Amino acid sequence: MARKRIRITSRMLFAWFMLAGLILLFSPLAVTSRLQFAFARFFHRPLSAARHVPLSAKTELPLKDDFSRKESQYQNYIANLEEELRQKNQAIQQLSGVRTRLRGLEGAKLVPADIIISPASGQRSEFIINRGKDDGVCKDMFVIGDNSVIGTISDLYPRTAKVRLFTDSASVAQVNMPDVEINMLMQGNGNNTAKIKMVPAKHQIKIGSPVMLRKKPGYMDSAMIVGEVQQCKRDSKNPALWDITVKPSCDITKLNNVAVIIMNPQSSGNLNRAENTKTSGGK
Amino acid sequence: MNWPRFAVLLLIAAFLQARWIDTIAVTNLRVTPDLLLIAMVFFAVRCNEFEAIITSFVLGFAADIAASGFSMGPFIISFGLFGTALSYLHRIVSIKKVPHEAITIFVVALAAGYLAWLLARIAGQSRPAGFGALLGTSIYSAVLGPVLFLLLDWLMRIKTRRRGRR
Repeated sequence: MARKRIRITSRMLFAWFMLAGLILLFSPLAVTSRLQFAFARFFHRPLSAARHVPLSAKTELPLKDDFSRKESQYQNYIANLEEELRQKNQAIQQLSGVRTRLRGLEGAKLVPADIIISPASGQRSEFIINRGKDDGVCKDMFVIGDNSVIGTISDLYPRTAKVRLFTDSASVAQVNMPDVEINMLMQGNGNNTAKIKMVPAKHQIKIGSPVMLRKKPGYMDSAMIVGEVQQCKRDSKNPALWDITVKPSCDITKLNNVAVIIMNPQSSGNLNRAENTKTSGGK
Repeated sequence: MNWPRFAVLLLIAAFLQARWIDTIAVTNLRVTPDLLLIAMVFFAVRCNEFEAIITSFVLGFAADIAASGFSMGPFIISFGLFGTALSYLHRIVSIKKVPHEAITIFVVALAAGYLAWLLARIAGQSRPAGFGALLGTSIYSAVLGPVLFLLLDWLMRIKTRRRGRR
């Protein structure tokens, strides 16, 4: 039987291959990737072996440059972290020291804060700290510095807060003295001192006696020192009363960081909410 | 043409292109030579048209396979097209001297690389575009190509025939 011989021309071959190429080109990736996976499976062993065979012609220089840059970036990052850790440790040590010395602060949360704007001279004695509403700080919370109470939070912002010192003329606080068993009101003078008036002259007041801030449930559970008696003289208007000048226990001008006392850390959010409700209710 | 030898060479070239070629990469762009393209140019200028068409498309297919992660097709078409064109061109212009071979590899590498990128774009695939890398690959292939041609000449032992006759 005579078989018809099919003669394949170059043009026909070219056309077939082009057609095959176009079919593959417009085939979905899921279909064509099977061929690639088959190739990878077939050459699995030699391909994996080839990854570990180095050639002397391999250029290391660009990679080395890249690595050294990355390494430098990481080293800087680590240095920053170490410094941050050191500062945190320092803050923890300071705060734990305060806790050890002051039993009344057991269970309270102390939020360390840095003073970002120093006390202004003049009638008002206030400064700004770098902690605010976002850190759980609320209005009227007490602020301590150098183991003594120095003021309260007067204004609150998301990331900052304003601290009003007890020496501010707008500040009034309930205080007492160990030897005097009466409650007294201390009002700021504005010139880095505070006044205690309305104390009967029958009580004996000693210069240098500690002035303690009275405990305020929810804000401070025990009395804490706020200052000491600097001067004690008869009231010019009523000689039956004492005119006591109180000097703060710590030098505010040398203070760099303080701590805000949060007596009930779990309920600080509730305090915020309560305050917001109060504010909205007032409106 | 010794087709079994060609098959072995194809597998080796595809394997080297897929995994080993990165070890001889240069510059920050990680420029590598295109071994399959060098082989394509070699067969296009050493074989007759019929063999050149087959080898060009098959090498293009291998190039697509080796470029895992992308869809297939662009290299088959571009290699086939330029391999065939080069084979026909070789009937008119003889490419036997080393500088001519280097220039041919450089031009074909540039054109085939650009066409493959264009075809991939037309087909809706995304491939990293980079003229610098393409130029680098073309130059590297052009430098390495004539050396590999000597090796391929020795391996394939193709008898040079008068072009245009089969």
